[in-house]
Amino acid sequence: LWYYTHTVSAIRRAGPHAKAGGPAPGSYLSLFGRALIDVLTGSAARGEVPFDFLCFHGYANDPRWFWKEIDYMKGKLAKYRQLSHVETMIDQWNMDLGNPILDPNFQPAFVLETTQSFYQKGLTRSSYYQIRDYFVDPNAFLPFFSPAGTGFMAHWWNEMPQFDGLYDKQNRARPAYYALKLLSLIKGEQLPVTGTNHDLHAVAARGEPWINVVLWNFPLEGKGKMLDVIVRFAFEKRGGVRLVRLIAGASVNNLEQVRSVGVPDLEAHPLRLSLRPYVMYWIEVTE
Amino acid sequence: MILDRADQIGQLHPRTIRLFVQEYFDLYPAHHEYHWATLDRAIEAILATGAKPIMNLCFKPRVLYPQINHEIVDPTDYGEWEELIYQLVKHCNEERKYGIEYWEVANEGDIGESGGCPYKFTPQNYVSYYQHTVSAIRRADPQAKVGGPALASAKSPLGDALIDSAGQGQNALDFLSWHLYNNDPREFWKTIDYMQAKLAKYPNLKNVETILDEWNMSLRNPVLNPSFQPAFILETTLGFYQKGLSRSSYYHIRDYFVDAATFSRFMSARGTAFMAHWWNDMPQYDGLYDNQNRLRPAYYAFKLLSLIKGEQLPVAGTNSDLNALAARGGPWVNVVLWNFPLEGSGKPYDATVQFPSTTNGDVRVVRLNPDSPTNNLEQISNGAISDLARRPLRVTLRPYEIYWIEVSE
Repeated sequence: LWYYTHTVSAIRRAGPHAKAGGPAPGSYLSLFGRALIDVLTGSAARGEVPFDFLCFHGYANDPRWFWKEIDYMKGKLAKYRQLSHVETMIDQWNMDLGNPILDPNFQPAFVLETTQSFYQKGLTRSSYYQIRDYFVDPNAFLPFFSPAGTGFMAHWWNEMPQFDGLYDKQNRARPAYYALKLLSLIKGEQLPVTGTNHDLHAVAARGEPWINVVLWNFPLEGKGKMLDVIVRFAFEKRGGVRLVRLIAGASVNNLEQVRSVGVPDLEAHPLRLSLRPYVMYWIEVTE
Repeated sequence: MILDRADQIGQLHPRTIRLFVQEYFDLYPAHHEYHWATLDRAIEAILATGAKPIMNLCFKPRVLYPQINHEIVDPTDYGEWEELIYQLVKHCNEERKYGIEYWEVANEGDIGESGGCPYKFTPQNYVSYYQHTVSAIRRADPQAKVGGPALASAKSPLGDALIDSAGQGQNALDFLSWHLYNNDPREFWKTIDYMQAKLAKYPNLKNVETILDEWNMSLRNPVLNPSFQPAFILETTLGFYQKGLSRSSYYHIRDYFVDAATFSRFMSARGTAFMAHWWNDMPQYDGLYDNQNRLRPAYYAFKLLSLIKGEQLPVAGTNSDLNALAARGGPWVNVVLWNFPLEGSGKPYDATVQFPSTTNGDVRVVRLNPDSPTNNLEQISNGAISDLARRPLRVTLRPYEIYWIEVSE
């Protein structure tokens, strides 16, 4: 708290409108992290320190783990009426990098499933960890890390298999990139989607003149099963429909166009998809 | 230029990277006029990986070789050639302080232009050319290591001529170098025996290093199984180590296209066409990175080899197909094991891995997946080593499959 107070004081002196926050603990399960949050929120509620956002991290293969984390953090803030404006941020998150799921379809579907729940839970902001994997130069770390800490960093980044970045250490795009790319299309007017279930999820939006739908199969329990889906558009009568599938295991052309037809043709030939677990489709409707 | 991959190559911890000091660097554009800037950039890219260059001298300045003919190997003026070499070495090690140790005289001079360089020597004129060149190198840097002849064929008489002249004290020889591309690791090991036997005939050559400074699987008859090349690297390198080879240079880091116009300035029309066809038209299987700068799985074989550092540990239970390397480096023990059938198509091996003296810490099992576009090092399991008593570590290695096991204390 002492460190936070000094640091935030300097930030606000330089930028009175700067948003200041923390403490970015490794996980909501960290006892030390919980204690930090208690101290920080208590002090902020008493008006002793500015506090604009509460941030925390998480690495887990089950999206529900993140829901619990968000609930926990929101519960901490809810104790103080004065903190109702405080934003919540998961500013490092990914699947469990110590025990990664190797199915190349998993990580992109996990990104969609987890992000949708961030939205539903009212999380303010999130930072996927990370953009690109890099090697660590021990000589650059030694001036500010202990030899043991430097050794750990160099071992983790230079020798351990990595599964983090949208780009790997060879600058190759991982399939997770495409999950965030598809999410970036969901902008404009959000559209309702019906017919989803516990495993099958979808998000849709109208961003003139296109409607984009992203749907995926993410089993929260067990290995899941193949889901056969028919997609219909309640109001669209004209234009074209493009169906695209993410091929996570391909080295190029990961967004594979499966079908391109006119909307009127859907009467005779409905849009039928079979989604295996962790498979995702993107449908674009043009007017 | 490998500078854009310096970080990734540096992580393989290469000690040396061989550089063709070829005519395309335009080192001697006119009499008594030197141009070092282009070469300096190539050397500095190598240094950025943490390696030192092995300087393979294979250039042929037009001012000293007015006629393009790979059988013309002597410059018009050996005095001027020696001065050029002297200035090159002085520039590198005195002015720029690159600290280059190895200077290699000529490249595949036993086959001429088809080896990529415009020299086709006879045993007699190679030794003469070598003596002139080495004399200039050593005059500029008395500590420089000099050698050659980087033979395309280990049994070429060029090698015999160089060994004999050095054995008779007629010239310095710090290293003997040759090349091989073959799908059978045993062929590489035979050439090491062959070269070591040649050197053993002369007691004064007992300290001469042996360097296999171009090697890979047969690039004309490649094995297409993507698991093959990484396993081939491990198997062949283990043999290098066991045979006492001093050093090796895998060929090569990255595939590049050839600019025919550039090569035509120092190679014949036929030689240029051969080079352009080979590098621009033929399918390639050489580089750790391909023509598109995409990674080949072979990279990971070297990455795993780079982990075998520190105290070498004994491994028991291997056989003619199943091999392993293990080392303790700081708090980590690394084991790399692979199945490389030397005869036939091989068979899967079920291996149970036990660690006799380690009771604490974690054990991580990783498999090389050469087919995957990313995440080629697949973490199969990660758990406490104490669990191995209940659930021993069992892996099934199909032919050419590679596993890496890391034990952390």
